[in-house]
Amino acid sequence: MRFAVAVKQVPDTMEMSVDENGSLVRAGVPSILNPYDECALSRVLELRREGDEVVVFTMGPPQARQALERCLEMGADRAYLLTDRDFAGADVWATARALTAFIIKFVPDADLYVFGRQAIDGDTGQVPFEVAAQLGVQQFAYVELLSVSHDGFTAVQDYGDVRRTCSVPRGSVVSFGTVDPNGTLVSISDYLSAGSKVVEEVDRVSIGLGLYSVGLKGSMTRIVSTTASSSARRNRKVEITDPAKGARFIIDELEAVR
Amino acid sequence: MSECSGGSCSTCSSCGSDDPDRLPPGMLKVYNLNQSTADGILVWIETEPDGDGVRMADVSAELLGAARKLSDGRVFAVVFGGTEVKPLYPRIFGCGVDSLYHVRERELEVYRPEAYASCIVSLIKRIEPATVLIGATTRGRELAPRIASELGTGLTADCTGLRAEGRKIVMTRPAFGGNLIADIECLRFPQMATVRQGTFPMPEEREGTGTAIYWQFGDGMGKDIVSEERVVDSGRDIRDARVLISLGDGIRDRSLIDVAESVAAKVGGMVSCSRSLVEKGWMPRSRQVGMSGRTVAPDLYIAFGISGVVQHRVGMSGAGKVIAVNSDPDAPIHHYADLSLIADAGEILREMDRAL
Amino acid sequence: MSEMFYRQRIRSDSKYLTDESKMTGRGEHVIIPVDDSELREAVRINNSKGNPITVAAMRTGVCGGCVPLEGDVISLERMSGVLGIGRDERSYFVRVLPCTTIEEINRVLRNRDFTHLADVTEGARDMLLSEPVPYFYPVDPTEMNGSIGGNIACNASGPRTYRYGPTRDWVRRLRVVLPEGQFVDFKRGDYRAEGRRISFPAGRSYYSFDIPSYDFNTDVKNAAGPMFHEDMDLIDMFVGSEGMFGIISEADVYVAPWHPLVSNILFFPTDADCLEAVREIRSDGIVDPEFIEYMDCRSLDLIRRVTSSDPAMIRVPRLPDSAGSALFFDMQLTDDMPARYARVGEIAERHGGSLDRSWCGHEERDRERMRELRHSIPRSIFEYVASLKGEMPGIHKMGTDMSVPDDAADEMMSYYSEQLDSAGLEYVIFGHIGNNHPHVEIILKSMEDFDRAKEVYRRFAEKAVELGGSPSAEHGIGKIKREYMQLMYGEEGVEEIRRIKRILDPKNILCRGNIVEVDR
Repeated sequence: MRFAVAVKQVPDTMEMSVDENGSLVRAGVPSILNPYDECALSRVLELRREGDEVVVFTMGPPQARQALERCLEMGADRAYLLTDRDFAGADVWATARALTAFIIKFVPDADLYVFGRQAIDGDTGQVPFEVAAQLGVQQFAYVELLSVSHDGFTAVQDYGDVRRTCSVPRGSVVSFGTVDPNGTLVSISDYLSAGSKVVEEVDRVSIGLGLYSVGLKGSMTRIVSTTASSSARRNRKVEITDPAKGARFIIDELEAVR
Repeated sequence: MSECSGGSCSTCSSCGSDDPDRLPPGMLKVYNLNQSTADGILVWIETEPDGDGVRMADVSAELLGAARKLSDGRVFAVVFGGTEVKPLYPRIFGCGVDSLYHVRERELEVYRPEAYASCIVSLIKRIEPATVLIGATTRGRELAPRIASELGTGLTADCTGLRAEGRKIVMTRPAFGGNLIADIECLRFPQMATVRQGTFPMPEEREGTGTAIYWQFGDGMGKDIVSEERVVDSGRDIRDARVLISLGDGIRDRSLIDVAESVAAKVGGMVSCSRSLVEKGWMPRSRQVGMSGRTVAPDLYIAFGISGVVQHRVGMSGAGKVIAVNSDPDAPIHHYADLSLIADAGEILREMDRAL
Repeated sequence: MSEMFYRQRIRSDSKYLTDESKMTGRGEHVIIPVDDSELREAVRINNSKGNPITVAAMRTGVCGGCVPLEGDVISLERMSGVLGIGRDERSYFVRVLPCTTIEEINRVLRNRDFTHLADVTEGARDMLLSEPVPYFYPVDPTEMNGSIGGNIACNASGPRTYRYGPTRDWVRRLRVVLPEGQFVDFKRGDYRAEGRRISFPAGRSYYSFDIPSYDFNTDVKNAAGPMFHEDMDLIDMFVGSEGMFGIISEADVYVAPWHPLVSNILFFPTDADCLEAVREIRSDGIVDPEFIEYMDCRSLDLIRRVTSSDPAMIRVPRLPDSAGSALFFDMQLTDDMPARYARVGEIAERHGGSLDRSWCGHEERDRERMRELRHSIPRSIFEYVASLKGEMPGIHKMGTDMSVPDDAADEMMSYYSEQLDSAGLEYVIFGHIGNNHPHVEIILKSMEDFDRAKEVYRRFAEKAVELGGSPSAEHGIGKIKREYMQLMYGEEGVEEIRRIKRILDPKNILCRGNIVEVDR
């Protein structure tokens, strides 16, 4: 079987700190493989049997290669980096468009297209379903458990209020809803074996899309303006030595609300 | 947007070729609604089981109320389900809906994202709304992109504000953990957005009347659902609570959860938590506040032992007042609180339980 | 008293009366000088009145060095910051105030924004900026919020001492305020002893005296008091003297080029396998680790137990079930990683490990996770002790800090477990095995345990000294471990230190009770 896993490189928001004005400091924050994608990939690797192939791909700037290298260290077999200046500024639609074009051209025969639920840098997890619609295949969101069945897969989905078990036909899009807080640590053997695998670069022309179908030009939404949000919290800091006094503080506030 | 009408304009490079609205000739043109006639707002009404019947999800009601104010045109709504939906009609029309499309296919009584999307797409092609609004719920977030993609239009997710400029809607959403607010517009009709619960006020309870149309839809795609089980969720939703006692990493002792429940009961609030306690299995996911949990907007949010990483703050930024209790004076939560107590969360909780 | 400097009465619950040893003392006032001249003034006034002063900075020490027994506390908290950058024939150095934290020094170097700094030597800032790699202060005392002054005063070391040596090796220059209020500002090499006689001027005074006759043990990691040996450098007398001879008011410390590192953890079936692998890795030129840290079977079990119940430790990676002990080491990332790892693999396989049963990470996030695992041990012990507090109110813990030379490592390790087992005590062993300096943490469940543990502990110290090691390898002596001075240098050696103390500090006002006790 063949699995195609889409991943993203994101800034490590856990590492982000706050300056005196309460805004995020992004300088020097390392880029990492999106933890949701890391979890999705490790679930796929657990499913893999002898002879299966796991392909990972991402769209991003050239340095997104690091995220793919990480995937190779984790055990993926092949990696594609969709990188082209024309891809820059893509919204959900343009991103999904490029990924779909890539899938059709490079991995049309995958048994499963796998995504993580969302990127931690603020994306809200829509790309998988736009890709599913464009591929015209079924989509399975918030997947918790995935197993191989005789003619495809079985997925357990967690909708919050409902847990649903579905059979997943081959060629579907699956989005894992989970993240492993411990992350994955690779072994030295894995690290060494990744050294012999290559990351193949793919540009706009090789996925057969026009200049106006990708990136900012191909986007359907546009950011008109951004403003700093006014964090209007009063921010009174009190150091508490006597718990009773602290409790009193809060109870007073509670009474004010009621 | 600059109005530069006429299909031949796309070859002209003088007026900024950056506008993706004008494709060069020969480019793939995805299905596009007629911009001159698209008008009105379509809202997907999500229903939730309620006893023997169903109720309208709060976010759907909020969106209907907002749609009425945002548009001079008509307000359309679409709802899926059988006869159990009928008792909701008065409430739906009371929110200002002009035409309600009720999809009564047996096949579609159970949520199936692919078929729901195809059905709504067929409806959109018929009524040509200028805007489609969907609640940013677990299902809404899955459904909206599928619809947007089939229509080839733009989608803004998780909006916290909408503003009308004629038929155009400017969508507002927080970026980078709420430190930036981005105004986004969609370059195509219909404009689509998913909107967080609590963004708009709940319209008042009013009964109304209007046209209900049964919408026929030959199924698009089958889906093999093996089984479905309702996860028992203890009663109320943290999104409804006016006071939230929220627990995080700093809660080391599991018995403190009971103490927190006791405090919450005494003040008429609920207990919520940050991600780590859910991952520990100490709290159900339905109680989680944050990016991967729920977005809450209580009058008072009391964060006990929560460090306040970006992912968590996104979920609580709408709170009226925030009190943070954390023994770490450098915890980021202190920057986002009205009142910060540098103290041991457990001690304060126990003390509150005693004092109340 | 003149109000030239900030001086305030100390309350009984003041932070100035304690440090990380949790020992509490008594004091009258806290004096917070903002600069060198205020500091000198404060020392002079206190000296003229014979009023004792104890020096404090970030109070992260674990031996009570900054805890006052009487008199005033001088807190250097406002004398903090990196002043400038210089370069000499050895390397670049930074000029810092005493209360600058290690974290702050590294932050300044990492950010490479030197606009607010001075050039100590001409053009040093620009030269450092043009270096291809960032620089850093390489002594990692684990507690990065400790002050550089405190680090110098106790000659701190840590895991990276394996490669970079202790703090002593990185001190270029000191400005020291002496107990009588004069100061001496000198570089390494300015004043050297001739044989065992050392002489130096300070203000209008001129000091000349014989140094003790014992030789400080530099063969092992050692933080037991000041260093003395023939033809020694004056700077080495102040490094590690814990404030008994003077107060550091400014220092130059060398910095080293930073290289990307890869962190590794190897798992072994048993403690013995692991220790044998340590010996091979240490003597292997190809593996060339930055440090080697050891986690024994009991540590791993403790981590497993505590992480499963404490949500705050959720980010500690899950240990493989088969792991019986673990080795944690960093390596510099070089082009010949495959060859070096092949050697690691050979060694691991000889002792029941393998490259498959390992972790490695070059991303900062992964390295952090592995550090978290290592740091979760002391924390797990703390949590474990706290969790038993209900049933056993008298529960307590006790940690060792002893190093021995390489050839005595095995003997010391077996001595540890032999003694502890026969005393029936619960314990874990982990830490800086690269320097033969593991920490043995004894968990005491009752008063009887406490007495037995104290006895065992004393035997450990004696054994360490007997094997040519140090009973205080990195934490210093402070007020808590004074008896080791006797153990190491005998009554005679201690008396010789007292003699110097009386010459430099005739009224015995400075940091009373640190390292040796001096009669009035």
